[in-house]
Amino acid sequence: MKNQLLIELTNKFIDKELTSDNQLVLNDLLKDPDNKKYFESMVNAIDKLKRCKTPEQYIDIKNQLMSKISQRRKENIMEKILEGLSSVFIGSKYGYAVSFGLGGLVVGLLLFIQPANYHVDDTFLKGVMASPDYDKTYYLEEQGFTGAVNIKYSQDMVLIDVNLKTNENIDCKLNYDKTRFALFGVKPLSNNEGSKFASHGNSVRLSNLDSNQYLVFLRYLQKNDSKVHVSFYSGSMMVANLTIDITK
Amino acid sequence: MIDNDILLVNETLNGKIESFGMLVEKYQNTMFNLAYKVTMNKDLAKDIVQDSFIRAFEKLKSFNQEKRFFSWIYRITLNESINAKKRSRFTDNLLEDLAGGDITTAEEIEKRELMLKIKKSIDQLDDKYKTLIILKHYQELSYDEMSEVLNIPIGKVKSRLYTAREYLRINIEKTGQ
Repeated sequence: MKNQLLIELTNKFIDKELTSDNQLVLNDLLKDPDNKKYFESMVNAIDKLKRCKTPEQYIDIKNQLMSKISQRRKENIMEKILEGLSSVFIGSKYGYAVSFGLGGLVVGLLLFIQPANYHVDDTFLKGVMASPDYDKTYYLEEQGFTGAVNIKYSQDMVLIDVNLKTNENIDCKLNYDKTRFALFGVKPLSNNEGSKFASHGNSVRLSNLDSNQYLVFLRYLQKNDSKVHVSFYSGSMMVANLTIDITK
Repeated sequence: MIDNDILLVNETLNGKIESFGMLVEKYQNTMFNLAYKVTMNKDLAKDIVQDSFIRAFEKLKSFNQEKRFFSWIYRITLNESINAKKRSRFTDNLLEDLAGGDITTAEEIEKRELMLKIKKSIDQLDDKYKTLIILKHYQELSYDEMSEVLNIPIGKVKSRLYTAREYLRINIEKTGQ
């Protein structure tokens, strides 16, 4: 076992925390060739580590992030209004009627603040889905859910089919490069009550993937290779993610 | 002296959302570099930073104002990064980063090889040791800061870091560097 003092002083040397007294003790210890070998090996390792430090990277996500936060805030306010309404009118004689009326108003407001949703109609879908063959498939095998993300290219757009097998309420967020794609539309393939989607900026969020399947259509703005980043969430916790290479 | 971050936190709690934007602006690059160094993937790191700030915003009421905001958001980002790395299907960007740019000298080739081997040596460490190496040698946090972020006493931070360095030294020797 190595001398504990040697280990401590070597680490202090690396941290530039050696006092002059420590230095004298260390010098004495390094007279032993084994100690010296250990010391040099450790100092070299840390030196190599420092030489491999990658340069600092810079990002600017402030605007994107703040708009997400604003959106969430609005949604929370609406949720609170709804909660408030239900508590006020429970037991009231006119409770149902008033709640219904005000509920309608709130739904109207929710629709007003909701970012644009792009629904794809069935006629379009039949045309695109005439051939069910996919060009690429990414399989997911996570604890609690399995499934696949299928890709199909067409002349003007790419279809991303998100199909999970799960009993959990998994959400999915797709991020794409706005200079390469525009969102053409989204189609949930079963009409579960909890199935909804929203688009904002360069992302589409698909909610409640239990037993549902979504088709997301992105229209090419430029036909260069690009990537679409897909993240899966259970609540606010990211449980899986993958990157899709759009190569056509 | 009143910590400016605490003022911004209080303004945010009082409904001035732009103040949170100032905190984002101040720390986004530090958090991005932390997430990138843990995951070695820029797309994933960007997502982690966004998720961490959103989480911090949503939990701002529970933030203990006797502590520093920096340490709090740092800890959130660090935990998110470690968890995301475990679940990630991403490949490292390091290879892409290294492949970027023209290689003109033998010295550069040698440096790139060294970086890959060091990365491999770090990857072989347990998460708790890997984290300490990154915080100390890549993020250049002081022992005080590491103690605050990890919520463990300085003495324990030091002893764990010494162990981490020892394992790293052994791994580097094994890679033949």
